[in-house]
Amino acid sequence: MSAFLRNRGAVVGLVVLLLVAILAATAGILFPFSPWDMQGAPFMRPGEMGFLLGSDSLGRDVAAGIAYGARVSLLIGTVSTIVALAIGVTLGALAGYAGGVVDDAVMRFTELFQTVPSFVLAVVLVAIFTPNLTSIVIAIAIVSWPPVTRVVRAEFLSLREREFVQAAEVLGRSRAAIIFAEILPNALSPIIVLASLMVASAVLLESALSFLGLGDPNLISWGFLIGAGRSVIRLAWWMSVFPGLAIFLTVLALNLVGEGLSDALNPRLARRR
Amino acid sequence: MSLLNVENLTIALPPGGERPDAISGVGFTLDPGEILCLVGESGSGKSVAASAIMGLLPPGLAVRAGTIGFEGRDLLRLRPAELRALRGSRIGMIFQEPMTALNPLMRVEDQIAEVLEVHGRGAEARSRVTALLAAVNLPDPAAIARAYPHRLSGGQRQRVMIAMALALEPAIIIADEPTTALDVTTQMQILRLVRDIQQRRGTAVLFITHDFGVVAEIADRVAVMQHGRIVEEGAAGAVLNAPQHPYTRALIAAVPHRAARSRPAKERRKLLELVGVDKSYARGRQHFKAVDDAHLTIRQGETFGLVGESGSGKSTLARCVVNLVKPDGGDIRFDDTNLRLLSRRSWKPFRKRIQMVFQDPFASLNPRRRVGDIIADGPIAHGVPRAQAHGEARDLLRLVQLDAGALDRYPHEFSGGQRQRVGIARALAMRPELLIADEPVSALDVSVQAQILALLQDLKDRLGLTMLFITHDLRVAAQICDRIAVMQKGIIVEEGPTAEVFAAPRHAYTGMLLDSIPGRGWTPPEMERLAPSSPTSPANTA
Repeated sequence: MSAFLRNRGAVVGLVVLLLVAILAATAGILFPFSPWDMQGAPFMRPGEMGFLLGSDSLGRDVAAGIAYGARVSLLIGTVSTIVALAIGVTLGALAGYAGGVVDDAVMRFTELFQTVPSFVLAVVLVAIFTPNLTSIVIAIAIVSWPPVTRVVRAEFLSLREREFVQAAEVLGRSRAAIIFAEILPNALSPIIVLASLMVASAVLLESALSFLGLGDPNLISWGFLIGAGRSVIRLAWWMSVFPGLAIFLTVLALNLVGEGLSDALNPRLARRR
Repeated sequence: MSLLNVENLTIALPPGGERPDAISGVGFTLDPGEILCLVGESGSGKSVAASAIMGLLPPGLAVRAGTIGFEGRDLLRLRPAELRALRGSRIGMIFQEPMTALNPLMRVEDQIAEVLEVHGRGAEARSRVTALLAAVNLPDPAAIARAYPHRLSGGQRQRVMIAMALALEPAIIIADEPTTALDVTTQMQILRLVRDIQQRRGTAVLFITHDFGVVAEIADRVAVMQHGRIVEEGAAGAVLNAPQHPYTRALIAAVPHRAARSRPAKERRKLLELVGVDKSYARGRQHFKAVDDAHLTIRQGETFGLVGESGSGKSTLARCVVNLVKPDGGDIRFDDTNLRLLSRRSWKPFRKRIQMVFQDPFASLNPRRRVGDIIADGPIAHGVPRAQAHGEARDLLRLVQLDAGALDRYPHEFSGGQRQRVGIARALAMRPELLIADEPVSALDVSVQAQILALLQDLKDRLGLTMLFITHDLRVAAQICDRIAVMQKGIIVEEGPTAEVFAAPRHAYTGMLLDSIPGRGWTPPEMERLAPSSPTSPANTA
């Protein structure tokens, strides 16, 4: 913990991330109206007519859109990461612990997903299932689990040979106990680091999908805001720039936190700084 | 005047260490043609002293006081360029780990020639390489010169390292545990080589070791280090046979005595019987037989030693018994059940009856679990209620002489010897009949090693255990085993009561192993054994 706090970038990232989370949580108080509703004249510049960040082509508040969009981005980012972790850790643990034929089968299956460009696959998946929150989460999870599997498998392969795992085997502990109580806790550090980076890429993926119009039509999101502002970017730059900044800051913050965690959990690397 | 004159050398540890100075007030001299052994346990500062002489102190260790006089100059006051000129040419060094001390991408001849080139003797480099390799008794020097390090065995690599150290005929060679990573037979060859070179060329050798057997084999003079200080110094014979300082006496008392004893247990029933056990691994297209047609019988209540060098298959055989390795063929009969044919489920009852203590106390305990959980896990897996298992864990800690406060602590808070006690408690928690100990003391310092051996011996007698004890150290085997089997390249070449095997080995390999015990001509003097200090005392945390 103290090692993490000593890393200035990570602390900045954590603060930014907290601010975004607070913004998402208080969106309903700060902007007690639907972000889809018209609040004034269209194309107001930032600061005009009480619009902090301007209004869009239909007179909707860009600031409200960003606040409500933060909810969607964070929600989709975390939930899809959790789903991806569930798939990836299970398969990776299975492959790494069982080895042999199971390992081969799982890894070929994983490679199948890795060889398909992930964004294209996500687009296709969302297009096949109608775009809504669930299908987007599933699509993002499906394209982002393979790296988890690879990392977990590698950790399990090396931990499996350690003497404390052999000792558990000799004690007659069940396979489940060996996997979850003995090996997994020792494989957590790289998984945690990877997860924080996966949230960042999930936020990006979701934005890219909504930008293409494949977002949930009932939810306002950052990608949707940029997509909507794209055609009038010369007329109303603020419509694209502020949501873009929101994405940029959030993803940067997540990456900084991820790097900080990685250093803190690898004490040998951290000390070298 | 001596060749090397170390006076009052004090080197500080980074703040927050276990003591303020890595070494303090260390002084010794080294004369031409002399072998001085610097002996101590891990953490005693013996390697720091050697590094200081070479100017290779790791960053963070600062010299506080003292001088290192060599050929009229103080090595500590030399500029880096002057020191570089001395290193290699006047002072040679041999490192502990021959596997990593050579550059894997350079041919042997290039690495040796590099030493000569760096010191401006490149012209004669090529012609001298083969002569040097021949001087360290390497067979077919021309072929070895062209080989890459990975083609050579550990002993061969260490010879190459010695050849490099000798290349410029230095006045002093510093050898930092040069044989610790090697098997006994190879160790003996290297020790003979070092002695031979020192006599032939009159080189002075500073030899750092933790092993009193090695000291007895090679030393002219001995300096014993403890907690960064030299506590005793003198001629080898005097220190070895009439040690004065209590620490030296304790160390020498801890050396396993070769008092092979035999308590035949013939009338007892057979507990474990191995019949024709085979295990081979595919290595590329070749099949490598790790265990080849092994036959063994272990009777109830005896301590059976399985002895061999690294790669002999002794650990694989032990792992076959507990089903960590699946044997290819043969019977493993435990109390008349063939364990090899059992499924994972039907194996489970036998898990209680056969337990194992592992070699590496740092790898054999899960770093993320508390000691209490580690000990209680096994009984819980076999249906003992959680509260009862934890209560018994407390008793087991007392049994292995740790205090109950250890229950809620994590393994990293303990020293190697204490962790090994936890490992023993974990195995005993199952109330086993057969305890397999796979090199349980080879990762420990000699004084801790003696305590763990005494503990195992005591527990075995008190609990009526049968023990399969695997070791590479014949002195340990002699002290603890009733019968031993010697393994070589997967084959059990000899088996019998320990005293008989030691007194009259039937197989040539056993004879060679016995001849290779370092210091075999030296019998440690009988001393009153020091009472084992309480295991949680700071003295053991080294």
